[in-house]
Amino acid sequence: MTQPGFDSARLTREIKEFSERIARGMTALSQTGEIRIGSAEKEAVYTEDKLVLYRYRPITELPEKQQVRTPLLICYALVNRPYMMDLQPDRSLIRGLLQRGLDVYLIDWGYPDGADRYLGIDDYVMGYLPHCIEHVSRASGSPQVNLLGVCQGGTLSLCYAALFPQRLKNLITMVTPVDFRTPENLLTKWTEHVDLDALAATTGNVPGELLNALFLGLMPFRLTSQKYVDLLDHIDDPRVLENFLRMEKWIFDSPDQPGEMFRQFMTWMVKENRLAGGTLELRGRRVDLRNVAMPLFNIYATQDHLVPPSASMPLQKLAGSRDYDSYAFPGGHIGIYVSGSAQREVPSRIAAWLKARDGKG
Amino acid sequence: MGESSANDAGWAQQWIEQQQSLLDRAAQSGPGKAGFEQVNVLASQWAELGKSYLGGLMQLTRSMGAAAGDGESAQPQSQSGGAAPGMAPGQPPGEMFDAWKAAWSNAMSQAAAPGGWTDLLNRTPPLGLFREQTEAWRAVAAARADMERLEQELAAVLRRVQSEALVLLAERVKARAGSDDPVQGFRELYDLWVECSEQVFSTVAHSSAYAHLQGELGNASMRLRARTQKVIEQALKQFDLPTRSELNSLHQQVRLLKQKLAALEEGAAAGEPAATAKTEPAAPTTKPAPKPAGASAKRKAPAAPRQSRKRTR
Repeated sequence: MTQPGFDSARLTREIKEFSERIARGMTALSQTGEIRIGSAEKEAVYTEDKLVLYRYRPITELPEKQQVRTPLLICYALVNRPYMMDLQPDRSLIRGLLQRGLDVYLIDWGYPDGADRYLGIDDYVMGYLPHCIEHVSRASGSPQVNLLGVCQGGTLSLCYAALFPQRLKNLITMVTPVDFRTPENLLTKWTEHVDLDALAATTGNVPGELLNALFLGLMPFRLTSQKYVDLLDHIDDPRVLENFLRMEKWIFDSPDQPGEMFRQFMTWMVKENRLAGGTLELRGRRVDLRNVAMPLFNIYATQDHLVPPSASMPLQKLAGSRDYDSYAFPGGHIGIYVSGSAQREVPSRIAAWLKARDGKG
Repeated sequence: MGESSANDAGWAQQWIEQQQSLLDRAAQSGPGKAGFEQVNVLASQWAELGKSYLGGLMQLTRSMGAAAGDGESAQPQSQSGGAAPGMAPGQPPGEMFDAWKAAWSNAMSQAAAPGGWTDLLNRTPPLGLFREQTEAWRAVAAARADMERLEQELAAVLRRVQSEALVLLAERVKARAGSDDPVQGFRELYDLWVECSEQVFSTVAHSSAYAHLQGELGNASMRLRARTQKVIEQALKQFDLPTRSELNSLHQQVRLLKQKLAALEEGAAAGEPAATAKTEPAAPTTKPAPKPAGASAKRKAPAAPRQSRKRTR
């Protein structure tokens, strides 16, 4: 069938080239070998249940004036693994921070199992997180700590900051949802009619695969089809292929979510929007964001389809901080960690913001 | 009536004899008889009994029909309106089987409708020794039917998305054909199709109807899972094997004990008498007594993390 603009010779050539790329792709994929993750050296300095607290070794000898004396603790989400912060040498937020003289710690929540199914938000915000902060504080000799919360870890960090503000010198939130009831938030809409009590009671820990299916369902045609077709365009470049496979591993290396934690988070935060509404209580204590009075740096991504900017931006009004700053990164939820512009912009902005406040207070 | 009574008595006697014969043969078959064979024998004997029973019932009905022909006995029944079930008042009892057959056919045709059999089962309460097990399995069947129905609804929505995406794709291709940027290859067409599909899907996905359907389907699948878990747990108990419910109970107890211990430790660190320690841990103080991974937490090599070392480089 001849259509305007369609050239049969061109189509034949395209099919041939595509077939050849698939063949080359199969060969290339079979030769990739093991995918290596991480780049910066670190050591485990504290463990509790499945949690491991890591401290990264400095990678540069900077003059003391250029260092940030207050240690930085990164609190990652329970969804997916924290090695996204240090995926590979040229895609590493942590490496970028180390190069700029920061003393970096990272919480790895581990892989929850059946024994963890009754852990609640309070166990994380009033148990594990304070214990890590206490350890960092003791180890560094700094009475206060800088806290960087990422995604769901940012929400937990905000809860901690509201309950124990005296322990934090500065707080940074990165792609962190605060107001879950904004019109762009598709995940919130989808959970509206889900019986979360039944879900947690039936599945126990919520399988990582279930969450992955949910995330893929947000853009099913792009995420389950087009991105693999696009890969064929770069199949001859081993570096691009390795990066793709590394990212693929991270996406699908999803820990199960402790059932009760998931139930509470989705019910209290997402469905009932208690954090933004000021009605969240943990162990009888109200989590009031107005107590977040320390300097606050809010980083969000303008094209984030998981945590839309509208979910992060209300923090400015809700938090009690008078020293509020924000950075709208032009990219998506994952690009903010791994894109080339993220490597240039994000660590340098964080380091500069912290340095400017390191001697104060 | 005398003849009828004699016939009824003969039928009853025949039934008793068959029962006796059945029991005798079951006893003779002994434990060496293969299970299925024994069941087959019993089934065929029950079928014979059924025929015999129905035969007896027919005889009874004929005798009732004969009695209905007698004006004296028919009149009071008609006046009281006391017709047999399935019969209109004044209906000749001889047609009772036709009425019964019609009712049965009706029930079966309803059962043949989608979900009809499940509905029919659900309306019939289970009875007897295995009442609980039967009820549990019926609940599984009902949940499965419900989930399948919702899956079909979702599939229909997704088919509509694809169909509308193709319409949109055709429009876009046509529009570009008339411009200086026509679609020239398969890859371009594919990318455009993805774009159209995501656009249509996004509209549907943000609708409250889709959110409702997604939620309903998720809840239905949870019901199926929960009910299946119940019958599995019933089976596990028969073999004295541990169940998820028992593990959950233990996990809850461990968590509670850990919280109590943490509260006691905090109370001790703060110099409080043990008796005043709270059940729920208080907000962490400056001394939550963290556990260093190594002998010296600050610089020395840490103890091997239990889980992450092998996963992290």
